[in-house]
Amino acid sequence: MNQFEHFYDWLNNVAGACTELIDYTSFIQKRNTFIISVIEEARLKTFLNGLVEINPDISITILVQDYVADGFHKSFSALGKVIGWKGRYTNQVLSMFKDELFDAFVFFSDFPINLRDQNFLEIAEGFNSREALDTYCCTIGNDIYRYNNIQMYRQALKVYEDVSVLLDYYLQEKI
Amino acid sequence: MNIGILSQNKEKNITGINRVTQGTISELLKMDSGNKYYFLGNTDWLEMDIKYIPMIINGGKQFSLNFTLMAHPLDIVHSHYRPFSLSEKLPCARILTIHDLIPLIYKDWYQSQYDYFNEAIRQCAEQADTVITVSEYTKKDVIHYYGLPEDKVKVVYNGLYPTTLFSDGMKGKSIKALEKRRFLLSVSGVGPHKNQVGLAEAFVKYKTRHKDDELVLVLTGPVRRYQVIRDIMEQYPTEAKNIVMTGFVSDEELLWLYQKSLAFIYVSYYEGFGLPILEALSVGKAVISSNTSSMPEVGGDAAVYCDPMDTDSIAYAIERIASDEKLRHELENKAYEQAKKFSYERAARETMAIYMSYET
Repeated sequence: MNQFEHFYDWLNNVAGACTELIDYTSFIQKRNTFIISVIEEARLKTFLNGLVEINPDISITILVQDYVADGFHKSFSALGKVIGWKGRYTNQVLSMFKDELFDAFVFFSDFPINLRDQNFLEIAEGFNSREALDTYCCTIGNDIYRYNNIQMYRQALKVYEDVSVLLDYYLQEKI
Repeated sequence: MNIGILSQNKEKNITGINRVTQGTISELLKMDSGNKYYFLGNTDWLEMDIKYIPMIINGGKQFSLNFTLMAHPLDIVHSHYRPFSLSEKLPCARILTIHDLIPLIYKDWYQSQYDYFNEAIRQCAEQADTVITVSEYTKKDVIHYYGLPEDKVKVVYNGLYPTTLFSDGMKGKSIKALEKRRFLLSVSGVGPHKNQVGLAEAFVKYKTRHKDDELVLVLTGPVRRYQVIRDIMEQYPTEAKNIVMTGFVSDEELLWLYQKSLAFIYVSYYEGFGLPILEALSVGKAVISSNTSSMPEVGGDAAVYCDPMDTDSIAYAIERIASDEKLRHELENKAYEQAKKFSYERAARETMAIYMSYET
């Protein structure tokens, strides 16, 4: 095993250890769930039905892009509250919901696996810093992941990215 | 050699590209015991015995594999989809499969993907040692649009994965409203280049000219959410009564639709390969296909061709198929043989030959 392999695998393992594949039962005790949904109406419906089936009393708030909000409202008003958002999701989302107490944050993603967008990581960390909540990501395969240590996960990703960029520079002889 | 395979990496969501990856790898693993294969990234979705190299995929359009390959050196990286960058200082052959250039050719329709094809995929194609395309036509397009030298681009046709469209022993389940009808079947997505609008308009034309013919056009899949089709149906209410939109159907219902249909019709403007045509041929169906892009390569002499830009041409092809039983039987007889020309066993053999050209 070369030095890079050891470090590389360790870093991947750290990131992997922060995530856990779970199922809907994780939402049994949740009272107030906040979802940012990037796309995919049909898949979201499956997910919401799964939540409501396991926990009929759960309160759900769904943030979607403004231009699809009306359509989402028609489809999901019976399952949760739909709110529109213009442009990229940033930590301004935290200000918008500063008076809400959520106990679950779900990034409903079209990413292949895991929460890797820096903006969403920042939003998740922001919610975590002000209240005890669990962070989840529902991926394109309808798998649900829970992030057991969002700060460590974010740091592991950052180290991975930084080393990757440094190596790119090194190989281009820029350093 | 150690060969790394990069694909869409989406768990449990088996898309067309995932099927190409699965089909090729499954055959490569059977026939190639001399090389070692690794999948780059998570393999939860990949139901086969292949080692994987862990990888964190970032959100960028083109991502660097330098870190991954410095940790896990490979002799070849073959991406079935995603453009990647890799330093020339790492001794590794780079192979990129390009399935089509639709967003580059139909920029107005696929604006959001244009930059991805014009920048990230172009750059990766330029840096690649070999580019694989899934048809001769796509090869021509890749040479034309990306300016690549011809000898760098190789054609490896797709096949069917799994090898049969329906599992052995599956029984068809009828759709009641169609049990006593004579119909043409369309199985297609709804992107503008799929030309479902042209198909509906052509069928309305056909019905206008053949008022006594009870032929029905069956459109499966998401097409009923397509407002343009609904507009056509409102404009021609009498003729459009014979256009049936089933929505998504079960595999059993789809099997029945294939068995019962008069022929399969697919009049897309452009395909990188044309998998729906191969699927229809594999179940012995007569096919009406566009005469454009790669589709004649797939249909061979087992299809009736039409110009997808010309609704009269489509209507005429429908007329030929609907009125000529002998022609339909001839096409049905040729269908299986034509379908047999495309398999992942062949794709894997040809892919392996490309890999072996990098053996030192």
